[in-house]
Amino acid sequence: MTNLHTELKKSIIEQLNLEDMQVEDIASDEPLFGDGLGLDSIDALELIVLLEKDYGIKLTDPTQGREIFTSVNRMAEFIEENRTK
Amino acid sequence: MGNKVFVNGISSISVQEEFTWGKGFLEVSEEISRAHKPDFKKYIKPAALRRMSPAIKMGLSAGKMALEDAKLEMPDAIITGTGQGCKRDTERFLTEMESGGEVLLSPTSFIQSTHNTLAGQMALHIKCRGYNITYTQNSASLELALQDALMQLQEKSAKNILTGGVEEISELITGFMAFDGQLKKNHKTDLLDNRDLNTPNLVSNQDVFSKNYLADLPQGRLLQSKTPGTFFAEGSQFFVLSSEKNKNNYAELKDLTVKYRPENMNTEIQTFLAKNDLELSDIDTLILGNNGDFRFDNHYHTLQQGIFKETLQLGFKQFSGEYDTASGFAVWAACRILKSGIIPSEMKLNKKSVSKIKNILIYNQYLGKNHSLILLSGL
Repeated sequence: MTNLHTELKKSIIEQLNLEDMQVEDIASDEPLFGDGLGLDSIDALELIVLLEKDYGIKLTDPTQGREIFTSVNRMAEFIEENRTK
Repeated sequence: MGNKVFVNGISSISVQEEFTWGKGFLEVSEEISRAHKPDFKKYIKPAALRRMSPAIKMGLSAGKMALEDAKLEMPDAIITGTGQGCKRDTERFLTEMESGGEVLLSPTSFIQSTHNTLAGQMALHIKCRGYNITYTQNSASLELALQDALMQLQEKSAKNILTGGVEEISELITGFMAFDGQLKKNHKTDLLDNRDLNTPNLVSNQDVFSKNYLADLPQGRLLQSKTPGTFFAEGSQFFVLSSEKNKNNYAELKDLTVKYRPENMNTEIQTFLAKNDLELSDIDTLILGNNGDFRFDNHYHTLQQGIFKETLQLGFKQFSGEYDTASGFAVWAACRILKSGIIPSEMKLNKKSVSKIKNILIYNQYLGKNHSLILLSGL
């Protein structure tokens, strides 16, 4: 697990108020929505804000989120490719 | 006058720990006190809970507790009152806006910052599609919610209404209360001074707290304060009001009124009682909203030493702390008293006694502006 993976998990826990969860409770390949972490549409909005605020990535097409937010692994990959800060 | 209105279910979340009624309240002793939280997971799913601020958690849980108490699944309407609403989320999104250069905004805190969040969440949780409204008129918010419920039940627009109030504290916005003297400063010195009975009393009606009175009542130090401001707290009280009484009923909510800066409260009270075919002597117990702010407690002292001199007087804000819907704590206490017949001795502000309690009048005001009267009767 890279530093980015750990940082992302910490941000997700903090931003989405995932009480009682630790970094190690989130598997990097675990689905964030649906059966995995069980996030919902409001969480998706929070993640879009997180990408822009922390990494300078602005999603122009919100439907991109479906593919980007599949797991922490995919999010980290996308951030590495597109980050501006 | 329309239908009678009964209180069939009650609940309270406050700074007081869960307790058996009549076993003792603890006096608030800090400028700002958080509520004693119940196990919210009993009332709200963890997935939903994680997103909620204390106001929503407290209000939703208190609402569900009141419904449980009344053994009612679905009310016809949800009416809430909150003077300051969801301060924590408001504070959070404003802070984020400021730090983010007004570009980015966390959707959760923005969505949940509005005053009507609780009533909406309540409707979503119990799937109530009925009348849903939130009153937000500072210290009269709960009273106006109760008044709406009372009128709807009297006019037979509904049979069961879930109504109540909630206030939460927040680090910044509650702290702002200190700027205009609403929040007490250096309270420890203040309370210590109050123990010195030889210190000249700065309160205009000095006779209220005599040496003997203090000797008999070691508690109530906040109410003897001689400085501006009070102690703030948070809490939520909810009630199921119904046009038919159930087996669990506590009291009849007979009437209430709110007056803005009344010229003469004595006259207002007598007019209010006359409207309900009552005289001053019919009031067995008076519950007062004294909060230790020497600038405004004289509104209570005037009644305590005047038209209600011979009436048993109780205080509640030394146990609830001050918040815009704190009168909910008094209504909750009145319901408990009327049902159990037990008056917690620490609430007493004088030494009068009463054999059987029939009518309780609650009088509350904040900063001398909204003065409310709530009348409850035993069944």
